[in-house]
Amino acid sequence: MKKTLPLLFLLCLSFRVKAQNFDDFLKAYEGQNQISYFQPLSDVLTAGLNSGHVDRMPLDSSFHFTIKLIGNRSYFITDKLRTFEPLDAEGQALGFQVPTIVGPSETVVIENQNGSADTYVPGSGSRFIPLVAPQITIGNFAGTSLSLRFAQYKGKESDDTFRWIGAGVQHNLGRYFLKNTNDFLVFNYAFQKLGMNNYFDFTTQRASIHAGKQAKLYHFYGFLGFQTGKLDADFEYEDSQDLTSQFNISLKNKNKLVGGVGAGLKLSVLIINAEVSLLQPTVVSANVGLSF
Amino acid sequence: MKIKLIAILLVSSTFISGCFERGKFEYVTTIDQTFKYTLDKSGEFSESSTLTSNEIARKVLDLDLADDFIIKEVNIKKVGMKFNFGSGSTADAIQYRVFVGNASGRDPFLSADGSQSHIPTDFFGQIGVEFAVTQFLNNKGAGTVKRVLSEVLVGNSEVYGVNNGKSYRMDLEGIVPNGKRLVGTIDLILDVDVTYETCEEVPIGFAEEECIF
Repeated sequence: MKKTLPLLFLLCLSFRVKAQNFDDFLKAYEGQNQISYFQPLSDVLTAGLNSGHVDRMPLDSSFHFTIKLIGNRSYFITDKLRTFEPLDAEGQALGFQVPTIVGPSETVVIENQNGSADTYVPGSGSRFIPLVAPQITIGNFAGTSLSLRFAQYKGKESDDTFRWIGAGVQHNLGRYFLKNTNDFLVFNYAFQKLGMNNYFDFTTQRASIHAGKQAKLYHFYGFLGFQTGKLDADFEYEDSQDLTSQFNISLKNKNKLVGGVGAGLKLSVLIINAEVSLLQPTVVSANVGLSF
Repeated sequence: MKIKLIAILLVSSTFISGCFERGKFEYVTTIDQTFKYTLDKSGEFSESSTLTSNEIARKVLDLDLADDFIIKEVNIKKVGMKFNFGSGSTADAIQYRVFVGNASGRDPFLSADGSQSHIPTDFFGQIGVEFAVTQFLNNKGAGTVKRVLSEVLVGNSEVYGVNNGKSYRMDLEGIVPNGKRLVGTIDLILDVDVTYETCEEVPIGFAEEECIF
């Protein structure tokens, strides 16, 4: 189970698979094909983790404290992140598509003329990748609010401890030049880091501009931004010969640009917000929380 | 106060609902099928090694795959030979062919068209390094192996104690060059990709479809 935990957390906090199953994922590929197979992890995490930081905008200087639960669903509208073209030992493209780790749950078998076959492992087949995060937001100070995320899971062994920390700052730029106080132009910067001792580290940053309208009961906005994510994984696992092998991979997200729309309601202390980022992967983010 | 209470309940229920399902996942793992031959030969030789259904299945059992699984497909990934020579072995090349046999007959499995195959006699022969011989695989023999393995494994959700009478043997036939002697062991190793399906408890959406078993 110890070997199972690292990437498990990359996909979903509560996804549990047996060590054997997990090792089957890891030993499936080597070299560039391994990178191509796991690459979507970085894109999905970058898009998923960065969603939902901003909802109610820091338009005034009245103090509030919000605690909320953010639920994200990352969808793969096209096959761009779900399949890749494998390379042969000489680095030549083989001319067909096989699943990535989030691709179809179907094994691709290419029969050779002599009766042997090359088997390409299936993906998870996920319809969407769910992600849940707790978040508190404190504001507003001079049109600025601060959001914080933190989660920790202690495994049975000391190096199984999983940590997720994140912080974001939102500042209302519109206060300097927009006359209608219901309109807003907000700058958001967020940084997040999650990792597990001795296994993996993932860091992501997003800077974005949000523009929209906010009334007492509702708000809506559009946003455009730039995001980076980097996943470094390094740990040992058992290969098919029961020998200890090293899994070592470093991935950066491919889709740097992010944009989308969002809208929400504030009903007394209840805040509900939904957001869609429209660039790959498409992330539908909904969050519900209490604001005091 | 009422509104606050409703709001707290709403948020709490979102936390608690969790929304899990038993999702279906497919995996591929590799097992080996190993045939061992102990030789002390000169001139022509012929040796057989057999795997029974129970021995075939045991390889899958050793993997401790999952609580529930169904094997969907088996394929031969590669074939290798491991030479491990003892003292007194003087042969540095042999001609060999391998046939696969079962109850219904015998088919060629590996053939280098009768040409001499150099075999490692130095350090590599001592430590038993595995050499790939997949390029000599015969389509018909490979099909026989796949059929036997499929009959034993595919569709099984309980491979423990499988004893359906199925088995297959590998006949190793060869010629040691004149004046030479072959002393040691040869392992014929088939790496077989096993595609299996299993169920995992995951958040809704994480799997392609729900499990029906």
